[in-house]
Amino acid sequence: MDAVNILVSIAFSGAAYAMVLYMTSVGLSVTMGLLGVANLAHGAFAMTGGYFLVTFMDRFAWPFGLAVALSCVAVGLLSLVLERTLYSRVYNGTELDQVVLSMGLIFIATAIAHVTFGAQPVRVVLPEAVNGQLLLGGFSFPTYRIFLIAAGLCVFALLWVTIEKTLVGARIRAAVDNRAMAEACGLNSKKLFAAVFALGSVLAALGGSLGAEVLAIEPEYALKHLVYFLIVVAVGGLGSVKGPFFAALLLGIGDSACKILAPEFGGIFIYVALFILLLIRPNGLFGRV
Amino acid sequence: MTQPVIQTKGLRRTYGAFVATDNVDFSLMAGERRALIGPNGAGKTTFLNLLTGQVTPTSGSVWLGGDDVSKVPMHRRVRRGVARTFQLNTLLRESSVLENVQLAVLEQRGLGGRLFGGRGAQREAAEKAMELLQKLSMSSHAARRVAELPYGRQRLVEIAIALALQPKVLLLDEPAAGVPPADSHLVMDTIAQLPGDIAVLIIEHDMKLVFRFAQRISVLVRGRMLAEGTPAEIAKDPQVREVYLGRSHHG
Amino acid sequence: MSTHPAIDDLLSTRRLRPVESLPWLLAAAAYFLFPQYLQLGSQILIMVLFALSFDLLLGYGGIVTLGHAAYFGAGAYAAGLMAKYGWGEPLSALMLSGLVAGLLGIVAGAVILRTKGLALLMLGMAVSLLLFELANHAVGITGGADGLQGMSVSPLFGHFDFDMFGRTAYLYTLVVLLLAWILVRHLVNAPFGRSLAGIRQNPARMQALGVSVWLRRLVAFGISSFLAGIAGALSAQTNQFVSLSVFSLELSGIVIVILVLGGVGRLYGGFVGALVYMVAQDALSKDQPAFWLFWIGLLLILTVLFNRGGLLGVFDLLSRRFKRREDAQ
Repeated sequence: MDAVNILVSIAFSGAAYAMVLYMTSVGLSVTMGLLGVANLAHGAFAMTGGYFLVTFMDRFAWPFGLAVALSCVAVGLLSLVLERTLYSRVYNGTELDQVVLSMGLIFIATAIAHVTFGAQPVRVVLPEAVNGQLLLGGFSFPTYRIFLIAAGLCVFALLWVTIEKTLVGARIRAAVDNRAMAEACGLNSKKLFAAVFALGSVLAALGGSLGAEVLAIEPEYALKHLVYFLIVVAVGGLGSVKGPFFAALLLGIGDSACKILAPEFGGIFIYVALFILLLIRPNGLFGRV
Repeated sequence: MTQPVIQTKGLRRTYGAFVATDNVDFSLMAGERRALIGPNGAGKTTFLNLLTGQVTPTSGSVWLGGDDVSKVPMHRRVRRGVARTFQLNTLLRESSVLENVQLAVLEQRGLGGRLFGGRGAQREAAEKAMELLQKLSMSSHAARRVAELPYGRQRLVEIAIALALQPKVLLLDEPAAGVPPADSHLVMDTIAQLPGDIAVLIIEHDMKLVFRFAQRISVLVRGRMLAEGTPAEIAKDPQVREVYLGRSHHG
Repeated sequence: MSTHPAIDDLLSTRRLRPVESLPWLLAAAAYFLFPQYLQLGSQILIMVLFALSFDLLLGYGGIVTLGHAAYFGAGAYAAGLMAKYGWGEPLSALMLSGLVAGLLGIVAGAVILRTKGLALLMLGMAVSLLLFELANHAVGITGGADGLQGMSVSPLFGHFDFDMFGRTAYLYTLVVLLLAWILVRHLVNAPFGRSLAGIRQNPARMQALGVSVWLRRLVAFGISSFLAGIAGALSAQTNQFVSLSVFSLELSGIVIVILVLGGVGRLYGGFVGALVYMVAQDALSKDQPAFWLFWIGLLLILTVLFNRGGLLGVFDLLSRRFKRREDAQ
């Protein structure tokens, strides 16, 4: 294969992977930025979205689109319950408290998934429309990957518009910058936090269910990909919507590039890059906090 | 002519387009009692942070004695004799009053980081801390956890810690703020009895405290030093009256 | 000269209390009572040491990071490589491995401690993950995924062989742990340790006292990684094998779990936590790994919500209630 082919391959599969990473991680960025909560269990919401999807499609034979939507709703409701009962109790706790709480949640989620669905990854049956190949300009792309890239871009656009341009977004930004002040201006932070937390989890579920072929849905999901989610958020910058997008692209394409060009050094490259990036900009590329 | 203990020359701090500190020339002599007043948002705490080194100036300089310390980090300025109290209590809440002050004494003596052989030093520092607390009539509270003390007494612990550092310059950021009127005499008495050789700068809104305590008053408005003089001069200054005085404040 | 009771109170934490001999008595008793479990016993003691080293950082220094296995692993591979390539003498290898880990800790820490929050957490993780990848790839040196084999550890003091019953290993580990404990206990009560605790409570306050917070934390980081390296080296020497798992996130996670369940910042949390965890894991987790994970997760959540002090916290509570009842009677 010639150089152009390789580059296109890298860019393409990297971008698709990046979009899945983005969708699953952006919620974490907003929650961590807004709530100050170190939620290591975020990946578990993505995983749960994937498991709900599989259950809805296999057990109830619902079509893909509907099943995805309902999984997101289900995870959203679940996260609201968890937020009110557990997470809100550690908003004012120490960082250690938050880390330990979310560790506990990952373990429980992993255990429940293991017992309910078994240790093997579950397969998602993609609808015909998304499964196949698309021919563009002499290259053949898997439709599914194009779909993922499109979905990721849509989510990004929607979030960016909401956060930057709407009143709700302004409220969120205000609360991230200065919670006490925002509350003094009449912002009901309890409701806002719950809503943001739910939003973050819904996005995770979306990423998890749509991206089920890229990041397989299995009990170890949350632990396996934890590092990557955190890297995307740390490099992108807490509380930002743009940051994780570019960070995910960097990570996704960089990872693909390494896999194809220098398979020996993939893992090392990422951590060295992370180190250097965080040293130069400890708040991430676009961090607000 | 003796040198000022602490001094700023053309000190300026901006945040983007916002000017927090606008070309301030300021100097404080040893033993002087100065009050810094100004409306809310005038930049008094920012100015204090510039003096202590918590904030670096955009331009201009800060001097300690004859040395330019504009680039010296905060913890080193403390070792050179600049001590401050905070507007909101910044104490080790879970530790006892005695330990809070003892740690300050140990740090002042350069022994805070001792890995080995610190036993004697800890005892001596504890005794020195107790002496200090006795001078502030706080010795009966020595063993209590800071979190258990009423707010007014916690403010006194703040001051005790600052004194334990044996500073040349003591910067007090609204020491009476948040103290219930019943306890505010504690703070006022303590300030009145501060050692005569150190320079004291106090940020305050409580005009009673200001006029009782200050030999000279500096007035900061929108980051700029509007006026400086004796209490009598400041009280008569038309600009100051217009901007600030004319209302009596109670804590 | 009479001293104020408050001063005595403050200084009294340095004094040894009788209950502090308990862990050592138990460990000594175990040697005689459970001769067939000495292998497990050594591993528990090693975990205790690892947890102790991490407690210095997390419990006393307040530094929340997820990659302490980096230093455990560095010590393990250092000791392993020394034993494999001719340096069989265990004690010197132990010290050198600790120093290697400590040095790594100082270099990494100097960089990591300039950050805070998520960045600190991530950078800490990144070090351990990076080392994992490096060890994974350097198959020629480390044996890669198969692990480091062919270690030959010489008898201790030229006389005590590391036999398969694990007797030498157990006593060796126990003595090293004792020495490490003496060191940590001393440091924690020394001016250094108290100022570290102050930094944990309120870094701004300590900075306002003229403390270079970064430097003091760095010293803690260095000592902590030195001790973690010693634990890793012990692991290598007693098992005569080093696997990649010494650098794993899982190990970093286990040590946090151990400390939190036992009680963070209480010096003995690691003792209690490691004992309970390792024994329970040995007994329970093999049959039902999912259940094991579930219960650990649940315990962690319950600890955070209701009992931040861990098991030692519960002991404290009970002993206080007991004393109150005694006083009342």
